[in-house]
This record gives sequence, C-alpha cells and structure tokens, in this order.
Amino acid sequence: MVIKSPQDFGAGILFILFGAIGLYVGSDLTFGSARNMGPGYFPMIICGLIILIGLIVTAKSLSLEGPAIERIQFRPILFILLAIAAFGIFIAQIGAIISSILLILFAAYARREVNFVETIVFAVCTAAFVVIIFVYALGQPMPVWWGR
Amino acid sequence: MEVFEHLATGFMAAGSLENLLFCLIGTVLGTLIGVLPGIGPIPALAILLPITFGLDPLSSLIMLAGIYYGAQYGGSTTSILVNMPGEASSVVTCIEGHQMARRGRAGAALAIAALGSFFAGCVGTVFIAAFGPPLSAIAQQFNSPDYFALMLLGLVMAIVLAHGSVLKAVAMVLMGLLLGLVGTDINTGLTRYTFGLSGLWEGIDFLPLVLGLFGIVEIIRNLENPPPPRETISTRLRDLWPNKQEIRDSIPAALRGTGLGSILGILPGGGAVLASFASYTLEKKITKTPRKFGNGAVEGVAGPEAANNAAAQTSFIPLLTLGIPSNPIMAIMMGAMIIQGIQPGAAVMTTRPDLFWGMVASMWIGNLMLVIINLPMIGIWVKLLSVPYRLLYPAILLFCAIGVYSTSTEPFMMVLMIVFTIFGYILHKLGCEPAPMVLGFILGPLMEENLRRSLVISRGDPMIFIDRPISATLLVATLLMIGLIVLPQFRKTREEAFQEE
Amino acid sequence: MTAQFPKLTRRTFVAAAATAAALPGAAFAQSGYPGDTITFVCAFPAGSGADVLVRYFSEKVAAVAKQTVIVENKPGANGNIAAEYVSRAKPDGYTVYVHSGTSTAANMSLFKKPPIDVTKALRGVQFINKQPFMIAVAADSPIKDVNELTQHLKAKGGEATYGSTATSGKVLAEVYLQLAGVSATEVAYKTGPDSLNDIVSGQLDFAALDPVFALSQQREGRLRLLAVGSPERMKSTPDIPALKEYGVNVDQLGWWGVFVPAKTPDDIVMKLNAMFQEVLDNPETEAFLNKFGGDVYTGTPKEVDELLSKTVEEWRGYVAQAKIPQN
Repeated sequence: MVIKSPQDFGAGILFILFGAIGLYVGSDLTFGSARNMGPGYFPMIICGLIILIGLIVTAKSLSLEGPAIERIQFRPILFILLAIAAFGIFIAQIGAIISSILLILFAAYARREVNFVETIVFAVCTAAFVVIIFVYALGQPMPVWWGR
Repeated sequence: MEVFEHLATGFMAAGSLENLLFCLIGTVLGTLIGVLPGIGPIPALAILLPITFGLDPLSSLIMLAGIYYGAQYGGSTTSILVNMPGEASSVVTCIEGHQMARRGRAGAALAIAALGSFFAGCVGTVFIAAFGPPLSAIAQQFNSPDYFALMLLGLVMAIVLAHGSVLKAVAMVLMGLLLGLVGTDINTGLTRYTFGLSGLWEGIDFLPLVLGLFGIVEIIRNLENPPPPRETISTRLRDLWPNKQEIRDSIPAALRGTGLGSILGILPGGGAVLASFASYTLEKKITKTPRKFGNGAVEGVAGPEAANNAAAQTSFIPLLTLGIPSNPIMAIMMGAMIIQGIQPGAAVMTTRPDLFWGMVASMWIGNLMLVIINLPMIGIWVKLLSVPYRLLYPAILLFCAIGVYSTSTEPFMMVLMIVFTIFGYILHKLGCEPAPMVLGFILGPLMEENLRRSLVISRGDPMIFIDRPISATLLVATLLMIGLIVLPQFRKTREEAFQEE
Repeated sequence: MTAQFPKLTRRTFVAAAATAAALPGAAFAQSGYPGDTITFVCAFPAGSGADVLVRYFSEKVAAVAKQTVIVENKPGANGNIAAEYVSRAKPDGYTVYVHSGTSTAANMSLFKKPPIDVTKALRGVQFINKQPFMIAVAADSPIKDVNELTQHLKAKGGEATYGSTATSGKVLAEVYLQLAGVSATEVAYKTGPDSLNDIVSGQLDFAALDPVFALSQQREGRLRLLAVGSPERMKSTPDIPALKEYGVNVDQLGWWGVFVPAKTPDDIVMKLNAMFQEVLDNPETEAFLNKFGGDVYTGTPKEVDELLSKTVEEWRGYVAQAKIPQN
C-alpha cells in the first residue's frame, strides 16, 4: 500500500475516527422514527455520512497524488497553549495583572530568540492597559490583584 | 411621499446635537472595543450596555445602534488584519480580507469594507423605511419546514467556502453539524455528546471555538513559517486606498451583497447569519477569475461586508415590526428597549413615531459616522501591522483570552479554546479549511430542530417539505446549487484525466 | 435629556447617578457592609434576555448601595454551574446570585445528581417577581377559552400538537393535558419567537409560552392568551383567567429571587434584602418587570427559603407527572 497523498490520507483517517467516536458516544441515544425522531436520529445519520466520506477520501489518497503533511513544530503550539492555560488557571486566584504577564511571557517563548527585558517591559505595560480598560473603565468581573 | 415624511420625522429626532453626539460616542466606543481581537459585537454590546442606562430612550437606542455598527466594523478590522473573527459573519471576511492584508493590501481591504458597509447601510435604511411592514408580513409566512429548507440551502453554500476538495469541505460541514448538536436536546431535555462535562450541557460556546480554530491557529502558523519580512508598510494615502481595478470589481459585488443581505436579514429565524456566507458563495460562483478567490479577491470582501451590514440593518425589521429578536444582538437591543420602557413591536410605530423613525434615521447616521471616523483611521490600523510580530502576537493572544473570559468566567472556556486550537492545528496540517465547519456548527442545531418539528407536525410525512411553496422553492434552489458545485468537479476530473494520458 | 454625561468610567457614572437620584442610601454607609464591589452572578451568557434583567438590578442596587456592582456571567448546565459557584463563594454578601428560583429548584429534580442541594447550600434574600407561563392560541383561532380548547383536543383524539418553550412550558402543558384527560404531542422550541409562525399559521393547536413573549405578541394582536398557570390571576394581567377557574387544578408559578451562600450572616442578608426592597418599591422597577411579564414580589429572607423548599417539592411531582427524563 502506497500513500500518494499524505494530507488526504490523514484527513480521511481523521474523518473516520471523528465519525466513529460520534457513533460510539451517541450509541445510547434513542434513534426513534421519522415521525418522532429521537435525539440519536440526526447525529447517527451525520456520523454515518462522515465515515463514508472518510473512506472515500482515504481510498482516493492511495491513488491520486497530493501534498505531503508539513512538519509539525512542537515549540510554538506548546507554548501558546501553555500561555492560555496559565491565564485560565490563574486569573481567578492571582488576578488580571500577574496572569496577563504570565500569558505574555509564555507566549513570547513560543519563539526561539527572546529578548527577556523587552518582553517583561512589554508584558507589564500590556497588563496595565488591560486592567485600566477592562477592570476600571468597563467594569469587567476580574480581580486585579490576588483575589479581590 | 410618505416614506420621506417618515424619514424626515426620524432625522429631526435623531439629528439633534445631543443625539448626534451620543451616536458619535457609540460608534467610537464600539469601534475601539470591537477592534480588540476576540471581542465581537455581542460581548462589546453587553459590556457597553450599562453606560446607556442613564439616557433618554431615543438617545440610548441611538447610542446602542452606534456601538453595534462600530463593534461590527471593528470586528471586520481585526478579521482583516490578524485573521481573528469575533462573530460568525466575520469568518467570511477573514477568508479574503486577511489574504489581501498578507499581500500588503490591508488598507484597501479596510477601505472597501467600510465603504461597502456604508453603501449597504444606506440601502438598508431606505429599505426599512419603505418596505419594513409589508416585508415582515412575508417573513411571517416562514414555518418550520421552510426554515429547514433554508438551512439546507445554507449548508450547501457552506461547501463553496472552501477552496480545495469539495469532498473534504462536505465532511467539514458535517463535522460542524455534529459539534453543533453537543449539549441539551431541546425535544427531550436529554444531553448529547457532553462526555459528562457540565460545561458542555448548553452546547459548545462559539467564541472559544472560532478563536481557537482561526485566530490562534493563525498565530501558530505564523510562528512556524514566519511570513517573509513585509516591505516597509507605506501609509501614503495612495497606497492605502483601493486602486481603480479594485473599486471596479467591488462595486457590483457590494450591490449584490446588499440585495442578498437585505432579504435574508428580514427572516426572523437566523436568516441574517447566512447573509455574508451567501454573498461569498454567489461571488465565488459568478466570478470570471475563480483563481483569485482564496488569494485575496476583493469581491470576497466587498460582497460579504455589504451583505452583513445590510442584514444587520434589516434584521431590525422583525424586531421593530413584530417584536421578534432574530439574533442574539437583536435580543440585546430588545432588552435595552424594555429597560427604557418600550415594548418593541408594531405599536411603537404609531405610539412613538419619533422613536421608531428616529432609530431608523440613526442607523444611517451611525453608518455615516463610521465611515467618517474610520477612513482616516485606516492608516493607524495598518500601522499596527508594522508593530513587530514578536510583540503583536502575545498581545493578540491576551485579548482573545480576556474576550472569552468576559463572556463567561468559567475556566472551562479556556479548556475549550485549547481543544479547538489543537483541533484547528490538526485540520490545518491535513489541508482542511475550517470555515465550512463554522457554518455547519451554527446551522446544525437550527436544521435539526426544524426538521424534527416539521415531521412531528406532519406526523412523519416528508411531503410537508414539497407541499409548502416556500420550502419547495428553497429545495429546488438547493438542488441547483448542488448541480453548480458538482458539475465543475466532474469537468475538472475529466480534464485531469486527459492530462494524465 | 438629563444633565449627566455618561463617562466611560462606570464608577463615576454610578456615583453620579446615585447622587442625582438622591436615594436614601446613607443608612448603609455607616456600618461595614457594603464596603466593596458587589458581584451579581448571572446564569445566562452576557447579552441574553435574562442577563438584561440582572444588569438592570445591578445598576439600581449600585445606586442604593453606593457601591459598584458588577455582573459576572457563569452560564451553563441550566444554571447549575452558577448556583454551585455561588454556594462555594465567601459568605460575605459580596457574591449575590440573581436567578429564577423556579429553575434553581427544578434542577434538583431535572438532574439525577444535582451538584448541590440548593435548599442547604443557598440562602434566600429577597424575591424579584412572579411570572406564570401561559396557554396561548393564534389570535384568529376559533378557540375562545380553555373549555373550548379541551373540547377541540378531545375531538382531535390525540392527533393534536402543542408548542412549548422551556421545561416550565412543557410541565404546564402536560399537567393541563393530564388533568383535562386529553392528549397532544409536544413540539419543543428553544425560544418563543421560534414558535410564533407555527402557532399563527395554525400548525400547532396551542402553545405553552413564557410570559414575556406571550404578552408582547398578544399586544401585537397575533396571539390569544387563554389562561395563566398561576393559582390566581396576575395583577399585571387581570383579564387573563387562571387555569383553576376552569376546574383544572394547576398551581405553577414561576418566580425570580436573590440568593447568597448559606453561611452568610443575618445582618448582611437583611441589608441586602432592604436594598432590593428599595429597588423593587420603585415604580420604574414595577413598570420594567411588568414588561417582562410578571408582578413585583417582595418578602423576607425566610419566605424566600420556604418558597424555594416548596418549589423543589412541587417540581419532584411535575417531573414525574410530565415524564421528563433526568440527566
């Protein structure tokens, strides 16, 4: 078996997986009838169609040439996700200022060359901006500093 | 003519110095909040709503309308500049608008978005004044089967949003449909696909989904493959302004978009959301240069922006004449009117004509101010792009996080955003475009609800869709659309087959 | 046009409004509470219809309390997420839950495992309003009252359909159908506006609707309201009969209330109660709530607790009676 179009092959497998998970998780939903559709009727049909398309796309990827999958670089996505996670976890506890600074620091390290001093200065300024606009001017529900 | 008399009443009421001032404040605030990445019109309106509480009813509604238009335009700005849609309709603006920005035509894209919107706004205002009441009577003819047919047509159009394989686009729409079904099934009250997480009981939230799929994935893409250093961005007026060819291409597109948007906007069951998608589909199907689409086609900005703004205007018709809010934004407007002691509905037109027509007039004034304050600002917005990316992207990310946090303070929202970033990243690596998925996500629940309702009402008889003239017409249109999509595909594969020989 | 000019800064605006209105808030200023920003928790997303109601009270209470009041949106799980969040907040009176008491109570039976026992984890402060769901037909329908509706449904022999919004609508309709000894198939709608065209075109035989929507469409001449689900006629709608008047023994009253964590001390609860009382006594609030389809309703914290417990019990019965599946 030769995969001629890796992108499409991957997409096909993704569709099949997605549809299969949909079928499996939704298997306990009542199917019902056309007259009185149960909660499972519509999702089951959709999952079936997704799997069908997945199979076709996969099959075609074995016969038609297509683009390769770009190399995955772990550094950017990892640090960006860490930045969001840090913000989400900490904002309620340590307040908008520190969690904003944390987010910007993590995000900055998604690149290799980081100028630490510049980043810190920028982070502090942005955090101040955020607090002035969102907390003071717009009355958004965020603690500024350590809880209330 | 009566229309002009009414409009004159309106302009008298809305044109007072105070009201003009509130309109201006509203548009400026709306633009400033809406331009923050991740904050679309809905959070912007919710955030700014309280500052209108102390005003008299007309001033408060005028200011709110100003905030709304401002936020919407601000949202288009972020979509074009940094590929960060804050609401469903800007997803379309991202497709071509951001490509234009990448080619260095950000100024032109912004100018065309502003002018297209303004034009649509002018037409929309006249449209409301002239045909509001009779049109709302037509909109009332739409029953569940008709909505189902409309949603089906919308989904078929969604396929055209992608540029690559049609098959993959169909799969993306279907995945969107399934994602849209997550949460409580309204017919039985049972939850579906929630994996036992209470945060999913009311469905997947739109904002983390769209920010993850589009904005954050865009940041990661740029970090993986830094775009070639831009030539120093010129802010000379000549380079910010659309050139002759761009203007020539966008005028007819804006006209068509205005027509489509005006009609879809009056439907009180989520027609407005289809406006920009429908316009994009239309432009892509009738263009003589299909290769330009996906690479920054100016028609793909002018049409959808005009359609969206026209729909935004005419979606006031069901609210003002029927008392029905047709989308979440109109629901906020309705709430604001109730707070002011006004019950939206046809009665407003007769009991408070100054208020009704004043509001209609203020829509036009708001649009005008938007153009006046935003055209000079285009230079500033474009300059933002010359901020080094190493500083720009962390700030964008921060505003995304805050935008999500201000609509719901649940930490789970951040989890959702992370999940959709990962999902969007995988889709990107596999060459799947997320725009059709977003439309599927929005239309999925509406489509299922209306299908199930229709069949309960007809006792399981599918003929209900063919017996009703509206749904039958829409179904025929859907079939034609499918034909338009499938035929070129066949031709293409045949061409490819010949080439291989 | 009032003289004040709304500045972007909300604190100054609120302060200005408070001074201008010259409301007697001085009594609260002496003791400690409220000495800091108060947070109102709203179980609906920012900008939804009910969010507007919570924001209305946040502005009015801010004026009375002379404190900033911010609204924090904690949507999700039918209000369970917000209720649980409030129950775990510091019991200091600075986290206040403004929500439908009916829905808070109903969640105890709509879910197999409710995250908290609302009667133990929350403490009532004040009521907001009472609002009943309503039975409606199209304005041009030949059906003029509930008796005729019952006859009509009997004649259709189970082939009839009805539209409902929210669980309260379904419960009202199902209880009515059972007591009247007729049957009809439910067609569920997410919101009232979604159901309007199907009702008006006569596709549905009747509908059980929320009062905000039902009343506005009655005023517009598109719906005829046959009955309210409350035990008596509402003050704001004296011409709509109660279902009980037709011998259908329904007592289903929706109400909104104000809640705080269970351990909040009495004096703070009483102060909050008085602040809300002052806002609720304002004629402007009455007009506002009437538009939302309900009568102003006030009481003591103890009465709120009692009604909450009573509503929890009632809903256990409804959920069994209307055969609503549990999550």
